[in-house]
Amino acid sequence: MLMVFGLAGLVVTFKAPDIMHSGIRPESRIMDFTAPESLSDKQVGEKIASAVGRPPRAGEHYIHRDDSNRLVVDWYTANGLVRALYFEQEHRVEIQTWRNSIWRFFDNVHATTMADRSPDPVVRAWAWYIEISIWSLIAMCLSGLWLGVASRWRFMWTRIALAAGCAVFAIFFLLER
Amino acid sequence: MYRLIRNTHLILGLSASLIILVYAVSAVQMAHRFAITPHVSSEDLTVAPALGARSAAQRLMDERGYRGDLGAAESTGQQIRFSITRAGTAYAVTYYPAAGRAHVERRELPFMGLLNRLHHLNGFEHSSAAMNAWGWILAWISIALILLGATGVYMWFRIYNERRIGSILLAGNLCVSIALLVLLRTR
Repeated sequence: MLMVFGLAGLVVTFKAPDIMHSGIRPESRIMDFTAPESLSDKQVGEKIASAVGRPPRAGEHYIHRDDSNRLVVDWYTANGLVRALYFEQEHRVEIQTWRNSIWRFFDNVHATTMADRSPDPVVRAWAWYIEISIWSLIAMCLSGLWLGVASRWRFMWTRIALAAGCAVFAIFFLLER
Repeated sequence: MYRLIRNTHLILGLSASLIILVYAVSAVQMAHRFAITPHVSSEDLTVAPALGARSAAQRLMDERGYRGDLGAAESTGQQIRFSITRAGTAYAVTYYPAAGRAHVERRELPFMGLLNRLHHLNGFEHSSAAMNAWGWILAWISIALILLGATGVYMWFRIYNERRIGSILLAGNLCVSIALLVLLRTR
């Protein structure tokens, strides 16, 4: 898990291209769909979501209108985005599957936590794994600090490293608060 | 070799622990959606008249000590709106060039909110040098995490009477994590 967290940090630091900027076109398929005239956007979005079906590993869908004023239903997953675009005049829905790079996948999975509340059992298992990893990381930091200070205090670099770490934290706390 | 690895682990760990805790504690906050309520205050200021957004922001930075990234400005009739943002504080400024006055709404995050924003702060394209420096800190912490994991496993492997339980834990961890990653990626 330390590898996943470390890779995620490097991915955002060096700006690995995301799905919209990677230059890769989405896979696309068309589905016939006609919404009753009397329904709201939210109701039509729910009908589209129901007709398309929740993609594997996806969380809750998100209904909105895009810049061209088309109704859109999005599902985000660790692998990218599944987007259903409703073309009202043509009575069809275009389902686009945007698959991200392996680097963005690592960034997404590091942020897949208990907050996602996905019904998918694999995503839930991964969220539990992340939860245990976060608490393990806290325990490792605290026990490591104690071990380092208690057993190697007379080593000069112990004091220098600890002082440097505290100084960096204090400086950024003061600068950014 | 063992001594070098042990000292590397010690120095990396002690220098990086507090920053790693920033990420870990804010991760708990996000995973469990602990609410963050900013403290909001506002004030009306006198600024020189007829300035552009950047000049007005510079005045506020020089004279009032505002720090952070200057956001895109938006002009509407008699007023110019812009923001100056750093991790823990955001200033939403409405500047009136004709009157030479500005209304500033200041949103200060509590400690947990600051940790949350630091967790999301990355990259080197900020106008604030401190924010760019944090981008480098993130790069260093990311590399430190990978090295701490690798050196930690190496040091455990050298302790012969703990190899059995360690092997079981490491193998279990690798099986679960790799299996879940493959399942997440392949569907």
